[in-house]
Amino acid sequence: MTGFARAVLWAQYRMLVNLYPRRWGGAVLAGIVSALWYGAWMLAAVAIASLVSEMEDPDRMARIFAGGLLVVFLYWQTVPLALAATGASLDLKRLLVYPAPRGQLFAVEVLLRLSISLEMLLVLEGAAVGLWRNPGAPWWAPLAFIPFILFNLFLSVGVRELLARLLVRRRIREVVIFVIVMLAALPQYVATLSDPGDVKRAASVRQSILLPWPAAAEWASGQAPFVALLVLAGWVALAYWFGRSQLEKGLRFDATAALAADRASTEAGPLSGALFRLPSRLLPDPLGAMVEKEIRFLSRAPRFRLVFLMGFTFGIVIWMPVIIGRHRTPGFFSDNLLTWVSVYALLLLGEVLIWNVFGYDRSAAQLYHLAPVPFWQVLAAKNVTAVLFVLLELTLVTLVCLALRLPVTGAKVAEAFAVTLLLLLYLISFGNLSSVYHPKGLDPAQSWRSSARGFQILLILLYPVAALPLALPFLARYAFDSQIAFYAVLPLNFALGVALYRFGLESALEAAQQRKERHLAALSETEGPIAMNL
Amino acid sequence: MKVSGMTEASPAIRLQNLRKLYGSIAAVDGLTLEVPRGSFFGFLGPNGAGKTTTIRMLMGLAQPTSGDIEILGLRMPDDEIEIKRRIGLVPDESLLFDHLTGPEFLEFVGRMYGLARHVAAERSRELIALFDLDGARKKLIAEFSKGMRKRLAMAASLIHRPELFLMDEPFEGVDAVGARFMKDLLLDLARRGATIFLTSHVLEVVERLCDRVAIIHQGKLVVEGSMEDLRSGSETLEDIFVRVVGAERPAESLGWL
Repeated sequence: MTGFARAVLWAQYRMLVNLYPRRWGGAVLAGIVSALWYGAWMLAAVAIASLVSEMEDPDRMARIFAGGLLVVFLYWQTVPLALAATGASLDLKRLLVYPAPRGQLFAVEVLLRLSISLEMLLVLEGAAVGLWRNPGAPWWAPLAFIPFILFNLFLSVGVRELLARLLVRRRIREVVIFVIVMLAALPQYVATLSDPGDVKRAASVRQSILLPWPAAAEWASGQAPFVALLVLAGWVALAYWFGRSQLEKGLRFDATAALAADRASTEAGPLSGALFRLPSRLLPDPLGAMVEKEIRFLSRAPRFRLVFLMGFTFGIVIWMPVIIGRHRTPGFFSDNLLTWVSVYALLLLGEVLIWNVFGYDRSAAQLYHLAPVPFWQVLAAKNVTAVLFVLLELTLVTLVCLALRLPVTGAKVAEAFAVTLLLLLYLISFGNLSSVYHPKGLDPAQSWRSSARGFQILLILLYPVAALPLALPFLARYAFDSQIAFYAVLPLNFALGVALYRFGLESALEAAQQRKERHLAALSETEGPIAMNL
Repeated sequence: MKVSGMTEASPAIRLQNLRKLYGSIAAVDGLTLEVPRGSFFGFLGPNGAGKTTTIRMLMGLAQPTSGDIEILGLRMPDDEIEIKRRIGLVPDESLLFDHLTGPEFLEFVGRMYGLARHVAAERSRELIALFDLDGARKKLIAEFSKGMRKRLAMAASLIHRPELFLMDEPFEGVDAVGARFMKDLLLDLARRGATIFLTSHVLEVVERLCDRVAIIHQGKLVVEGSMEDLRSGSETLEDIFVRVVGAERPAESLGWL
């Protein structure tokens, strides 16, 4: 390992050691969840090893490997993008000032790409062990996975760098994200809309050895190793060239200049300008001024624009198979499609609008503590902004559903709005507390950044608890078989939500007063030489 | 190491018709400038004049739209790595890592410049003591004040004994004692042959430290010369600065103030 790589990894290690005593709770929780997650993949790897060790027919083995390696390839390259989590990577902005040779930067970046592919490495390791234990497989068969892994690593460096540059540009970013989420949803649609026989037939077709996964499969099954070696060498070289050239372009890329090219479009048009000013007309200052500022800021923040766009596109796309295709059946999910899509959109918006409301505009947080404004008004402004954006999102979700001629009635629209807004009320009750207790400074220009994994795990536990009271109206409708029963329970839910909100707000205000210094310090923290975006 | 084109006679920095466009706006517009070796060079200009953009281009953090950059006889970007080995940086934006301690950060920087680990650790300890950061040895950088961060950044710029220093507002936020120490250190480095290229809004500091000055306005060079030549008239540096950048803002234009 080079001196440069050692220095970067040492600095990252020291940072983790320095942080550990402060965040031991989160570290323990994240450790438990990681152990469960990777433990499950480990079990899968053991199962794969067992299956592969007993395979006999080389032709069948080649076909199975080709399909499996295609899945590995797709998972490796697309899942991190669809989850908006691109793994650990060098923070080039901070490291560029040092005299690090480009080749070393590339080597470290390739190693860091392993952070998003541990699952696939476990799977391939399982297959390799299976081949090694298989008496019919030649000794060199497991080696097929080495060039396949290199191909995926080099390719993922290139894809990440290419997307990082594309996502800086307004409008291009939105189009790229739209294409990615649609591609991510494609397999689900193929499985839903096509006949199972077609899928089976497609899977049984022997794929061309000129593609990387069938080439690796042919090699691993002990067939045509020399042709496969040549093909894979070609793909590895191509992926290396792509990854290296994209990293070079990334190093030369000037984000400020790229943003300046479309800076003129940041200026609000007459319509959006009027919309931005609308809260000031309806609300008294300083509340109105703060809400207007939040709306202006968030509508220009790439991270927020991304999740907002995903809410009424990806959200609908992934829920649509419930009501179309072969598996459509009347039931709880298909009857309440609009509500599900709306709640899903709310969850996507949650990080920005609910859980970490000070994290994106850190300098504003300082101003809010300095300004002669009661802090409850600051939190109220954040919450009003959340309500306005959620209302806009729900309206767009409804319009897209109508445009797609999905079964949307007036009653369903009212139900979706009521349920989602009530859930929002519960969530912001907890969100005000988390925004004060666990603020995390994030770059609003980074489309892919997200909060710490430990906190996301906590959210997974919190969502069902927060949503529990909302089961009541659905249970009432089911028990009495009446829509009136559903709406009769809603006021009870609302009263409970208001009480919870007041309690949460008071606790958050008390905490904000006591933790002002820690709050601001946490928001001003920056990362290390490696950006951990897991 | 011998690098092609490197000569001792070449200036520390030579900029030829340097231009940087952000969209249609020229942040730096045809800048031609030479900084002699061993000089203490003040690079001045009002806010938004293009100083930081110029320094970012010198550091290799931004690509010029056109024009040539030559540093210590080496061409940017062709000899970028060798140039970076030989310059020390105190950037405007923080490049510190908040969750490292001061000594850890300095050791990291030393190793990034190719120093052996034990050498980097030894120099790190010495620099921490020299910059009076001993009391904060175990503190994370996140807990440092703005002045302490600047002092640490300057310590980091020294660890590999560079020939040229690029400093963007190095005294900003530093207390009087710390600033005095840093100024004396820089003067000493300049006396020993290092070249110092700094930007500062505190014109008195520039007047006291620098032997040459350039003023840019709207990306263009408007004044350049030795401090002696500039002060030959009755004007102070502040007078010259205000005159050439044309900044007259009458307070009475705001009736309510």
